[in-house]
Amino acid sequence: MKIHDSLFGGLLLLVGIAMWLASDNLPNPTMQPYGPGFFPKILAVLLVVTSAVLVVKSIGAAQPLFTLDQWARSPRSVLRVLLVPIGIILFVMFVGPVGFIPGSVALLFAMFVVDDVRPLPALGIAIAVVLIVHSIFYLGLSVQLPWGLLQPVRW
Amino acid sequence: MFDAYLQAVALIFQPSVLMTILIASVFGLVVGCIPGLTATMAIALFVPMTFYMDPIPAVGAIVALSAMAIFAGDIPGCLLRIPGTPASAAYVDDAYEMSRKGQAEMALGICLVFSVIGGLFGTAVMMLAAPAIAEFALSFGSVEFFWMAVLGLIAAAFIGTGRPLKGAISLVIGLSISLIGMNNPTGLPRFTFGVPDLLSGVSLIPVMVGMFAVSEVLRYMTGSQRQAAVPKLNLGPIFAGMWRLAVKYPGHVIRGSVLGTVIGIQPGSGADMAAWMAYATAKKTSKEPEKFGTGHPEGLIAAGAANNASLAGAWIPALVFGIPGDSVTAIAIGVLMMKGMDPGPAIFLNAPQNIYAVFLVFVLANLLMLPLGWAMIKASTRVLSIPKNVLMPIILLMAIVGAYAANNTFFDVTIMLVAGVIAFLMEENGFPIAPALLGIILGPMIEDNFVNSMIKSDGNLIGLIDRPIAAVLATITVAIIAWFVLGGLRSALLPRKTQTTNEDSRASNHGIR
Repeated sequence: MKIHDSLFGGLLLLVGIAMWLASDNLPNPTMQPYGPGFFPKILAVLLVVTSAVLVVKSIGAAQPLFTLDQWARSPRSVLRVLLVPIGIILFVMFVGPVGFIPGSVALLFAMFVVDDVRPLPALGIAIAVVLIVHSIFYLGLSVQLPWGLLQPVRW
Repeated sequence: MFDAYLQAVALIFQPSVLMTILIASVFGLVVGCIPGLTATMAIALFVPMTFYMDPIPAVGAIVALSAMAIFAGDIPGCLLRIPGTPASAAYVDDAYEMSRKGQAEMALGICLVFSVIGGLFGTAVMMLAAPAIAEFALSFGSVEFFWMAVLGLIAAAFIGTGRPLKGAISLVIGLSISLIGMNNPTGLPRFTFGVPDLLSGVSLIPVMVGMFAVSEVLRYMTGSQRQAAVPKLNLGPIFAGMWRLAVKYPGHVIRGSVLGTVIGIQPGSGADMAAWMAYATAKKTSKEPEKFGTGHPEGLIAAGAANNASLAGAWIPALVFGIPGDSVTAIAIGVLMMKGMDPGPAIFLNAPQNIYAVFLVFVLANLLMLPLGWAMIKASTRVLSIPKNVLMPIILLMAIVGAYAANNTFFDVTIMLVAGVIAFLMEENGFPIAPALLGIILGPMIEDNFVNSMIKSDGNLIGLIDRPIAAVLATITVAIIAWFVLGGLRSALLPRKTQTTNEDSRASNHGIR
């Protein structure tokens, strides 16, 4: 997903300005000569300068303003791509009550099916993989993952 | 020193450590071998597991993993014309053409054997140079470390990437991310936007997993989904003829190894840059340059040695100054810092056995590469046939759990996602992400040393350059910046057709990916 350099540069320029404004408000409670806002301000200036240079350099460039590649052409592949961020966000939102194992199986299953894996093997592989990964981390490394719906049968 | 080496041997040769190294090696081989999965992704996925290990097995695993992955990337290059990792891209044409001519086993043998030779050479340089430089670095104070870190970052952004402007922007982005939180000399929360989870800053592991694993998954999802058919392998003996080649082209072996080590030392440029430059140098110094690209072993010899040599070279500035030579060492330094083992001349003095343990693991990993690499070559057909549409979601799941495991919070998974999306968009638009990673890791080092230096000099900026070493480092830094800024101004003001050569646009990225 390519954006014209001048647009990207412009966005970064705005971020730089925002950073400067945010660092200006940082008080210096200590006796140190350079307070917490010093370093951020320097970085803000650098960001503004470099992104300005980028914008200036690329303003005339023969580059399309915005290109979406192949994947945006079909709804299926758009779904496949968007499933990554959306799937992760939903996962994080619901993993507490639903539990890691059910949630992961759901996520994997969804991603498999959208990417042309047949449903029955998809379910089987999803369950097997999630159980293996869970065991490695829970039994092997003692990482506590939420049980959620499986709370009554936890091991 | 001998005592320390003995202690190091005792540290390494324990069953649990050796088992960890073995598992990490196999993991590295498998991930490196599969195109679309990179060496840094392998490390990013493995690191959360090292969280629960002692520092030596953790670092040993990373060293072994990276060495194996960089070699394994050559295998699909020979068989499918698709590099398994970017470090193998420079010579993929020659490797593939050799396979087509029926010389697959020679191509693979060259990649394996000369990777080992390059790796051992780099290790030898590391073993000799690092303690010597550390001796010198003992006289470093906060001012020198400040300039060293700045110099390292500048070099990484401007020189290491081949794209100075976007590299610089990427660096500033990384440094800005390192500002978030309370971990600054004044303890005042910065840029936390009222989110309590951000008070301790953006955690390194989720960012890393996002940058190197999630972004690759996104890249796969948005790319063309073709899975290349793996040809049937009828390999002859892999190690045959290697000695003859080494005797025929000693120059390439040496030049490749030296060049690789030096490029590894240069912060921010890693195995892929090493391979490209070694390939180009081999072509220039060859007696038969016209044969390059048609299935000629010379380029493979030089570049195969270079990319593995660079791995060891990268550890020299990392161990001595805490400044990573490439993305792998950037991650390793992050891991060491999390375990309270800050790299720097102090370790050489107080706990040298830890450093020697790293050296020994390098030797061990490079030697292990021979049998394990051979086995991987034999198993490659099966590994390369694993369907990507099943593999990639599994990688994503491992990434999620890895990001969670560091601090037992799913907020980190959100951080991972944000980092992954940003890294993906950055790379799609030509911004290298290695400088950002270095910025995130070294930002605190720069600020802390700056503030300490200012305290020592009572706020007087002259304090930054009134020590000789600091003044020299400062001069070099300013010179590099001036070189690039003036160069940029010159090309902007003089009317000139701007042309990126093939070399420039292909040797695009930064440290290893």
